[in-house]
Amino acid sequence: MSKKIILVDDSVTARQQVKTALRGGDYEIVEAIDGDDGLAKIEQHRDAALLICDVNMPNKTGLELLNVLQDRPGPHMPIVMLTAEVQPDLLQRAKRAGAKGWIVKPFKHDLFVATVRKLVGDA
Amino acid sequence: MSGSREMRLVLENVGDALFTVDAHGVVGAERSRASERFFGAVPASGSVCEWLAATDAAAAAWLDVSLGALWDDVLPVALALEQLPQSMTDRKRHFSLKYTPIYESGLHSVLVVAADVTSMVEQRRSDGVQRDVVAALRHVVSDRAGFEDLVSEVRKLLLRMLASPDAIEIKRVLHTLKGAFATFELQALAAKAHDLETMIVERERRPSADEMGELAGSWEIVDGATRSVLDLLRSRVAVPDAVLVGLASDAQAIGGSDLAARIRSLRCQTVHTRLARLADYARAVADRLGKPNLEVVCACDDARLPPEPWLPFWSALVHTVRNAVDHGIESPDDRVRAGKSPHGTLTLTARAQRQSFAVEVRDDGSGIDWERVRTSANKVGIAPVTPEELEQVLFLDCVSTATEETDISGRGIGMGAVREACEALGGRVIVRSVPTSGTTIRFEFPPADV
Repeated sequence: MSKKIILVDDSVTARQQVKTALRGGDYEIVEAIDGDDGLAKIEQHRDAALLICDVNMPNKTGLELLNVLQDRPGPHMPIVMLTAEVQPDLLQRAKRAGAKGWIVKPFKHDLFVATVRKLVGDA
Repeated sequence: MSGSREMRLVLENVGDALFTVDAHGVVGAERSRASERFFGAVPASGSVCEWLAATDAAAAAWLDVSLGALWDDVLPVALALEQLPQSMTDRKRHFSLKYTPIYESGLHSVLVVAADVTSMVEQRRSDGVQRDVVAALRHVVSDRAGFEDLVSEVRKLLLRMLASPDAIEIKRVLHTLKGAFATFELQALAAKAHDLETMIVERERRPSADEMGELAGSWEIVDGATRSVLDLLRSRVAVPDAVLVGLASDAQAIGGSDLAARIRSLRCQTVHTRLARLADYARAVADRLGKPNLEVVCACDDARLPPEPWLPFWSALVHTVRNAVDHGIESPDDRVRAGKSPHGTLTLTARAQRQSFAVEVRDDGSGIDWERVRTSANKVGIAPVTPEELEQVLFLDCVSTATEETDISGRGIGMGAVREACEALGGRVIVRSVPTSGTTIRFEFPPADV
């Protein structure tokens, strides 16, 4: 059975890049266009194996979304942040709010796929 | 020599900073001497973040958080390594950073190699600015008014940016600057404005005065390089050739043939430009011949000549100027002995008169030594009798009065060439020479050629 990945990013281009990178794998990608949409999709797909979440987004930033999730009862899926630039403070806070790690955009496809595989337990 | 001593010597002499960082972010005790030369003494805590923060606080914080990810073992090692900072700078020096994981039953530490790449970064930056200068000059020529608008807008925007305490306003100014630079293909400046804008958007940080000053400094280089060209062009009006031709034929049609001729003459080169170039040449020749401080007087009206037919004459006139400086004007010692000022005077004149257009080259030298001309003529089997015949000898290619042939003159070819070029334009040459007072070579042309 294909693994479900929730992808929250307000940029169509960024979402397309993620989908292109993961095209060869057996994944079902659920897309969300901002923080609020992300929370709704997470609620609908509690069985998702991974949450890939942008940092700067309208209607709840990535960090705000993580803070909401933290207060919700588990189980929690692994979370990886997508960011255009390394902002140490923000990443520290994201980590404290449950993020496993981060991927800097633009990313190399093979490294991105390796990260996803490791986080969903395919590696 | 023992292995460890050999390694010690390597670490003392290698040009790069080599050090290891362990899982706790602590710098290893064994490191190259360059490490401390680059980044100062390692603090007592040994913390890599604390150590490097003195050079580049942002990069140090980034390194701290990213190194943590390496040992978290969540991300693939290759990705975690790639996401470590690749460079750092204190704005005066620039360093590249490379990382190698060291394994010893699992990840033990990371070897960091930092190289000083300041000169490379500066070279790249200056290349970018130079490319912008070339692009700016291209626009100055093709769209002067547009470029002048850019200059005044950029000056205002830079002042506003440097004075503003408000990051949002600075961001807006940078965005406008970026667009303005890009419109005029000033790529390095546009990229710099973009970087500062990104800094505000993504790091939510107001750029420092130094960072904004760097942008202003690069603009100063472009502004400075174009300023003199703009000043020069500001006093001129550029009109397409076809417009000028149309205007001249309109003037002709309403019976203003004088006006039509004047309009047509605007397409021609000014004689003044030609004389000024010859004057520079005369001074340079005089200096080489040990006749310093030659005074060159240029006297001409605003005559203009079509470049094509007159080119051979101006080229050949160089010989006349050279002869005047070389053979006409005496050495400073000889001039003083003759009761003259030690430095000579060369007068270049071009005047349009009703009956003719005349170009003159006059020196205040010793005058032509006609006896020497006669002797030189006799040597090649010519026996001039009348003063006119003697004058003709000056223009014979085979006769030179110079006592020695130099790279400057002495082959006796030049005067013949200039007369030929003068006659090709329907002109004639008149030689006037007064012993001890100097020589005037006058070229007279029919007025139709002016």
